[in-house]
Amino acid sequence: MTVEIYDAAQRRFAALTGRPVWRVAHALICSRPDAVAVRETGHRGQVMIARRGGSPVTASGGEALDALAATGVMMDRLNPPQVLVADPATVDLLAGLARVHAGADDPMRASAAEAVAWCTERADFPGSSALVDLTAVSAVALVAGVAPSRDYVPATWHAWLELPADRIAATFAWADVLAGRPSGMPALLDAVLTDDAESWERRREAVAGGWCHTMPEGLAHAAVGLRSRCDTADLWEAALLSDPKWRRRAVHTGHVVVGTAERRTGVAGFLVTADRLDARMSAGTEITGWTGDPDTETFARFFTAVRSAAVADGRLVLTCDKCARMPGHGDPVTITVAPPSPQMQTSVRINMWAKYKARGSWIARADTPTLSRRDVPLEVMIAAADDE
Amino acid sequence: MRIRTESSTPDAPASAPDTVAPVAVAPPRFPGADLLDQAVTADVLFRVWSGDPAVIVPSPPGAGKTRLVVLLAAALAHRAGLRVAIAAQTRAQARQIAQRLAAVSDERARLIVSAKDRDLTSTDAGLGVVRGRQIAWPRSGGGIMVATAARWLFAKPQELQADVLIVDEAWQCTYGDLGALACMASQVVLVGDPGQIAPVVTGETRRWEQSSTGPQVPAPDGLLAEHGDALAVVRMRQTWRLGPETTALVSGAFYAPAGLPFTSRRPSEHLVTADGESVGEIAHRDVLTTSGPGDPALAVAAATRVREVLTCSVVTNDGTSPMCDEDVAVVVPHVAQASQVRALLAADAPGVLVGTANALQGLERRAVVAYHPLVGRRQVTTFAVEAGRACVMLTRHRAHLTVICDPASPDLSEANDHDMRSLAAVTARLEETSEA
Repeated sequence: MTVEIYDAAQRRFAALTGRPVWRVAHALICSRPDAVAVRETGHRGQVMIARRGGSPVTASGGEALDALAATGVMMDRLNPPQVLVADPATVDLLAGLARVHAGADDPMRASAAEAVAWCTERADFPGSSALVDLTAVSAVALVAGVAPSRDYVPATWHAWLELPADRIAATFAWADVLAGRPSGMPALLDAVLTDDAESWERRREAVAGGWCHTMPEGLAHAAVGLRSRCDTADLWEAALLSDPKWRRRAVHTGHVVVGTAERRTGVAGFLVTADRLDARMSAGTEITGWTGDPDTETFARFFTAVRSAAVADGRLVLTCDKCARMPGHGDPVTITVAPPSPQMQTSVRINMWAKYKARGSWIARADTPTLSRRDVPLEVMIAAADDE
Repeated sequence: MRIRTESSTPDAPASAPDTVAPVAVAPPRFPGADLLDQAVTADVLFRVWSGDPAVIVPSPPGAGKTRLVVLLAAALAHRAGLRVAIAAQTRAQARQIAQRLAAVSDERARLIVSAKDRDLTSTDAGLGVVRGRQIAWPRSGGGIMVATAARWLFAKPQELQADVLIVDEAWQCTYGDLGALACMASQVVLVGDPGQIAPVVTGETRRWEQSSTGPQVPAPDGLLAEHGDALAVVRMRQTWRLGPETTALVSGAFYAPAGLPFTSRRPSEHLVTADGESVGEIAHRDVLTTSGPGDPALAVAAATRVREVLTCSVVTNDGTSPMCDEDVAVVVPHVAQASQVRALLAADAPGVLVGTANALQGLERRAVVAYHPLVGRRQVTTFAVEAGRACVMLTRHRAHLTVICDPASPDLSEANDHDMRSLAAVTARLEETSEA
């Protein structure tokens, strides 16, 4: 079965039952009690803002930032705020507000602008709970009985999740549905939540020191920012693969291999033989796995690398290096690509930052390079001057 | 050091058997001196040697980029006495450069490896392999060190400062990574193919999408946008791999709009069937799919075509020889598709190279069977229509290319997007080729 057929079957099932199908067993977001819901009203940059259980305020421009400040979206709080939005259009609107009112005379408004700017930046980090785009999360976590092109339309989820008509109440109800999965969040997303907190702390320090998000960004900050976004995206992909329901789908994308272990005399490691041939693993791929099927609990994982991948008698054969907790001969095994290490990711970012701060790089500083000429042999000059 | 003697040249007259002919020794050429044989490569050497802070070398497929990197490093290290760091994008590319360096350099050239390369020895790499505390420049004179860009990011500039940093496949390196790598040397040389797959960036980039100097853009593009006139650009405009039909196909669609039209200088090379019938340079085969890009009918068609190609012979200026597994590749967009094709060929053609465009970038074979990027799709995705991916898939062959097409794939002829228009132009030309 191809993943397209698998997805189509789930959509068909959802359409037949009239209920969306969960693609994950875990929650992909957490919904906090102090979360703030923001909905675009559709009237000239106007937004509706409310805390859970509070009365909504409708405002635009600087007054919208004042309303957000009143709900606690400001830089003076110790823990990061959480903003719930229904679609990317609201994120763009909030980012625009923050940009226009950065450094406003009113310190409350300026503080709210910085906090909102931080939240909208965190929207680039999948798994972050600083700003949650509910439509985007729903499109990953659920399948509705609609065409794929309707997955990123908020109205789809309003209808399929039977949300209240009141837009603010619907936003909180929506977040609760997504956050209310019984098995909690994948452990790998803890690293993203920790990064939320650390990023907020760094931003608070910077803003307290007079920094403003509209100041020009140097290449060093941009480079490390991009690396950080990539690291979070990689963690997000790995977190999805740690979810048993998602793994069932991933069997059809080649991200998960289900097979049988084989131990051979004279071979230090072990072999995995699988019926499906479309594995996304080749020689050198670092993998993790466990004895059992994709739904099995994964506490006793092994971590190793693929030494070679081949096809024998119409079946895929992965030869894996020796490691701790190797499966026994004949054991059913499930393997996936090993998740990234958050510690290693941090180490790479620190190294990158150190490189940018090292002396001597005109590219890092965006300086005009200075010329330092060397003598060149005549034969090289003549050859270079030849007109072919 | 190479020494050329008269007796080693093919056209030298035979000496009388009863006399000892004097051996005339030509002035010894330094390693990498072959760059002087062409003005364009000599120009690159001149600019780097003379001290240009940045030299950018955009090249079409098959122009000899790896050869340029290897010879340039050898010339700068051996003749100019400079320390040259080479940053490759993958470990396989680093090994390939190291192996080719071994043919022109000596113990001055070293390959830096990591723990993941624990099986790699100096014999495998072809030249000195260093790891851990062994990583150091020669105590005197010039030297060459090859490593992946990721490995260079961990190097300490105060210990491994180089004079020149050469970035191979530079269009696959982000500007953000180049900014960090650049602290290793005051001069950079960026060699690559601007028409091929852009850097792999998994994170969200909308923050910089309006910026020509964003950290996600290919390193040469970012550097040119930031420093423009301060940089030297030397364009290579000839391919030694692609024949005239393929050159017309990809140069017009992908390279000419970017200011790098190129021409073919490939020596004559084509396939003939067992019946002696000449096989065209490009052909297509239609396969109507029903279950997405992983439809097994695609893999069956590709494997069948490979077997047909393997019954052909290749005709070059050196003569005619039968095709073998190692002469053929299958290039596809997705890993799962590669696995399917590999499985079908495992029994009767195990030596055929099968892989994705990302994996086969930089490689070539006499004949290639490629999937059209949109096969199996009914909707357009950014991945499917990325011009760089299509370009890689259409440029791995020397003598023959068969493209597996899906008549029901989306029609892009009315698209506004540049990449889609390029792909639409290529698709229209493919439809005009003969059905394989």
